[in-house]
Amino acid sequence: MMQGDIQATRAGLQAVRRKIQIAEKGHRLLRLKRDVLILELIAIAKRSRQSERALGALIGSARETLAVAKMMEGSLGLVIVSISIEEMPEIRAGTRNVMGMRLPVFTATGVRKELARRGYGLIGTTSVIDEAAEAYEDLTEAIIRHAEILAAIQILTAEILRLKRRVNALEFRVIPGLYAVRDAIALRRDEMEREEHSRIFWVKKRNASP
Amino acid sequence: MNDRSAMGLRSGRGNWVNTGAPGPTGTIYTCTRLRIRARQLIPRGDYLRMIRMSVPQIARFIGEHGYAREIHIFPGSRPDIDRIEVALARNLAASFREVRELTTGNLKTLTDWYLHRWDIVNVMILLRGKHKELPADRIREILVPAGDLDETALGTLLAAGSFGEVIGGLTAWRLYPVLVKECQPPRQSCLFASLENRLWQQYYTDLIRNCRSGIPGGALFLDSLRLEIDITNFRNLLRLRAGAVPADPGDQMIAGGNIPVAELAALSRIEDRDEFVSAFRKFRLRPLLVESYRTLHPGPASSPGEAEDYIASRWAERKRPLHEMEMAVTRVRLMRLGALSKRHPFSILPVILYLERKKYEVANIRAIVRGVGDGIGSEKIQQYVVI
Repeated sequence: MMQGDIQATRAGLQAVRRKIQIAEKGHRLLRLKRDVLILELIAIAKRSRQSERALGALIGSARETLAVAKMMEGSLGLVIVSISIEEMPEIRAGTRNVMGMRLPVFTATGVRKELARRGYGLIGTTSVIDEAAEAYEDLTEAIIRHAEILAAIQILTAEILRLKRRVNALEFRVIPGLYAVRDAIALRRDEMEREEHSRIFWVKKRNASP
Repeated sequence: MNDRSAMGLRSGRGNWVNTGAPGPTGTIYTCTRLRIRARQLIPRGDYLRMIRMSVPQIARFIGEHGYAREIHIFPGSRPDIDRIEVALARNLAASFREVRELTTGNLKTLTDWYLHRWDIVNVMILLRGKHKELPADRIREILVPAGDLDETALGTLLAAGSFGEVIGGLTAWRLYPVLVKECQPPRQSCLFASLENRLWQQYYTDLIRNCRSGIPGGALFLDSLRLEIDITNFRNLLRLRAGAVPADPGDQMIAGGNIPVAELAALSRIEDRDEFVSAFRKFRLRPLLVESYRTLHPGPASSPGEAEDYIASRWAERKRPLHEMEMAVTRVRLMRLGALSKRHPFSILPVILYLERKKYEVANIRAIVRGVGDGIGSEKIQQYVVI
């Protein structure tokens, strides 16, 4: 592979040995990082399953409370309540570091509101509105948490796949190739040494004969 | 025109005639008409039948029971649930307007005061709709023009270009000073929840003052109003408690009920369950709440202690749902109002009873249509119907 580029000299052999050393070290580190990320992915996947189950339950309960609210207040009543919201929730995206990976962290503010801050008046409404609003606040928070987990899973999966390709390339292509180059150089240098011995032997023999 | 129609006795909503007599004759006529009209509202058995119908069947059924004009304007034979809801709102507004036209003299004054509450609802819809830039048609669908602000006045406000113009167009409205005060300094929006609460509080304050002004029938109206205020205040107290609102609830309460706001505020500060139970035993709404609980859990085993436990547990745990109890209280309140209106057959009470029953008829149909449309079980729908 690299025989064309590298000369079969002692310096060339040393250069290849250095490359082997670096490749093996890189392989070890990348494999380690891949394993840690896989462990992180397994942990996050577990959280994702829990979050998905919780989300399913919250969606069910939110739909139920909404259906009750629609029954009691009508969809027109709910339109009035829904347009009452004056403070929109804010979601800020940050990051956290896992083995040099920047995983997303979503911080939501203003999702869960106090009764008095929801925008609708207390006197002209009934408690079903509170129940529906609370159910959807819980659901929104759960969706944000779930989105954070899903985004982390996507990023981790992409990184693990990239690392897997690099580790495999090092393990099955680059390092064996470097070993082959090292062996070829060693072989060539042995041959060159034998040729040199043979040449010196014949020169000495010719000079010794009368 | 035959004799019956000349006397204003023809049945059918469009044929009601105001006799024009402001005195006792007019009151007797109006109360009798409204009692008959209340009897024509959908009975309990029909609600139970409707729960088992499909949405188109319900549409056809209500079309045959007083909602023909509103239901039949839909071009298709299968009106969707949203359109049925719009039809119900229109029917409600039309019915209330007819009651306004039917009443005369003091009864009309009291009825107008009572129906003025719909102006608050409409004004809040307009302000919120304009603030959120909702299409005018969408806002119009939600309005229930049953108060002082009729369809024309609301149409003019709806045509206003901005939030400020809507406020400017309400200068002649009774609650305009509250509106201006809450929205000062002029800005694109104001805190709607606070504004809405202030409007309701001012509405009840004005209503109580008017009832105390010596108008005949005002005292009876005041009694029913006070009960309504007490129920609303206690409901909101439980809602604030469940919503874990630490602030003084006095701001969210209506003054003028039988139970002073200070007593409610003191109740809101109680954290200990036993202390709450002992305070609740002296609470003026206790008999009504116990009776309401009994309608939820009928049977000989249902004792007042159980009702106290139920409310105390909801209080201590800041727990929901409360709507089951709300529905039960509404049922009992209507029953009491019905009994009281029999004792005072020619007063404001038959009028209020009709208006309330009509409101809950519309609410019941809406609940049934929505419940059936969303596939909710018939037993659960029944829980949300005031019958």
